[in-house]
Amino acid sequence: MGVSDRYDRGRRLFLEDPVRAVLVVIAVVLVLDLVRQLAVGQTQISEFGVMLKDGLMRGLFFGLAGIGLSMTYSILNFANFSHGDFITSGSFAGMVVTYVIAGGFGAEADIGSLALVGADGSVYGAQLGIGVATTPLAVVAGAVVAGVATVLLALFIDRLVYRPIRDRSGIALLITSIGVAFALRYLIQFVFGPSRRGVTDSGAVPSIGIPAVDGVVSVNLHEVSLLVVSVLLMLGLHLLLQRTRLGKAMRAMADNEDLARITGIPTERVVRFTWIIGASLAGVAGYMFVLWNGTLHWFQGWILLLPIFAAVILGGIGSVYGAIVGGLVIGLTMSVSIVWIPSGLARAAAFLLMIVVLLVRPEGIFAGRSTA
Amino acid sequence: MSETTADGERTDATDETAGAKRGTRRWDDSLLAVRDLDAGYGDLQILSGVDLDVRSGEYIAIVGPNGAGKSTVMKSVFGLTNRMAGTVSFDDTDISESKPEEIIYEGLGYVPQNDNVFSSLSVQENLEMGAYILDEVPEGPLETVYDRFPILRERSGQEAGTMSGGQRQMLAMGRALMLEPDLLMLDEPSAGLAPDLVEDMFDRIDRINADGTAVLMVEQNAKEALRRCDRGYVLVDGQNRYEDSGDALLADEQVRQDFLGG
Repeated sequence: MGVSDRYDRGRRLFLEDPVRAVLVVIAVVLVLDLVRQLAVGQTQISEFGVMLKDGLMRGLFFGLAGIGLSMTYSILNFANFSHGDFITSGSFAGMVVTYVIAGGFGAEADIGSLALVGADGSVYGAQLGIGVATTPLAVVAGAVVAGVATVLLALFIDRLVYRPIRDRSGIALLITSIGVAFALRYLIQFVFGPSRRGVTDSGAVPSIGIPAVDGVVSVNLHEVSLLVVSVLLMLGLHLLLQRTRLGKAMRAMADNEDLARITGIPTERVVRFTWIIGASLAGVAGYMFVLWNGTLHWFQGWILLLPIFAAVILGGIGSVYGAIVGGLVIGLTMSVSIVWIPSGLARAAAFLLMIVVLLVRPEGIFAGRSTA
Repeated sequence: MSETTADGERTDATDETAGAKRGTRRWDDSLLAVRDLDAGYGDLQILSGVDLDVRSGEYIAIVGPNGAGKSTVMKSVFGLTNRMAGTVSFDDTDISESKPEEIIYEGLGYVPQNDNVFSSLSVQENLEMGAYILDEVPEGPLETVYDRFPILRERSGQEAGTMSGGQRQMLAMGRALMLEPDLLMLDEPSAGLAPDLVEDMFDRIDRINADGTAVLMVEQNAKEALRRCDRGYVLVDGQNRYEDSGDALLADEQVRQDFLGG
């Protein structure tokens, strides 16, 4: 292909699709600027490595937590605004268990304080030395309980609230879910108190330094844990959806509910498993995020719900794989964008990117591929 | 037209609806028996007093003008409408109150007109879903479906949504045949097909019927449907108008003029 050919194609792109063309130009400029910054040392390569790592962590969390949101949307046909507070609920439930076990069931601190995850600063995670390396049993038990407790909570709320109004419109369900979100959030605040607490002993987390050209990118064990748990759960879900009878039935119901019913797929059973999978992933994701982040507070999930929604919409709402890809894109954008803009605008950059992607692909990256 | 004698016992032979030439016959050895059915959507009644019989191995067509309630009859049999009065029984089991997910266990297969495949699932997965109620995918019926529609075997890994209209229709039928039903209900199987594929589709339906499966078909392509079926029902305004053998209906001057375009 000759140069003039390529020139022609470029000109045609500009004329036929100016929005896309401008976006391509902006992307090229940003990448070139990044290369310049790295070359002249304005941004160190190791610094950039840390940004990528942080973005990956955040992205894995958004993806894992977003899967449940996307599945509820495609199978139950509504946007579940209480999903963020499922994440908070799971984190607290898991941390209660972690505190109680790490605190020796009352040996190292008052059992009441342990059970309330050190409400009002009565006991800190650092005092108990909480971490994957120092208190592995407490952390593993906490992660498992985070998943299980969130599942029980979701099934309970479904039976109590959502099931009676199953065939109402998506808007009615959405508004109901906002009510559920408030109820959960303030219940958690009432029980565990409003303080933001440190829940891990960050000094006791082993880390290794990976040498980058001009410095070191340190990776600690909690980051590795988040990575391993996320990837394993995503892989497990993939196998479930693609290989098992139940998983295929879930995809079928997400695809075409009427047809699923006339082929004899028990829709209530599929709904139950949707809650089980979505809620367990939300609970575990929340717990692993708290472990990585080191802090826990009662409106955590609510704050995180917005970027999770952005991730899910960006990926193509209803698609599990879209949620994962969207999560990574949003997470990476939030941390890498500070190469070009002030860090206060990082979140805004993520949402801007979402809008831009939707301009080009209005149905998201995995458009129209419900759950498949 | 001469009065034809029913094979089964004749229990009712009067229907005074305007313009009706003869009553709709009823049999007592029917596989599917619809009696005096009133049905509709929500409060809106579409069908009133519909009678319909399909006997074992029969090939039945329902024809009639747009909005006559042809598809509604099928949906009502499968529990997808609000059934207000009358009864539906299949193989001597009353299914008037049954839900779709229960009716599938009775040996009744249904192919809706639109959205009749899972478009994001592969061809193979669509067929597997057809046999969801069994614990394992039945090898025999799967092979039979693949032999019946070789294109599906060729494309077993392809996403159903990327196939042509004709292929999707075959997949939808294949899906419904996975449980080897005694009666296959087809809602407008030729709709949206290219003209050269319509004939082929009807030939395939003939073969399914020849292999022993009773067929109940709603068709817009009334002449072709009546030519091929054993018996036909002409439905107008949600009521039975004519019922007779396909050939007799085709030969009837009144039916030709009113419903078959001369």
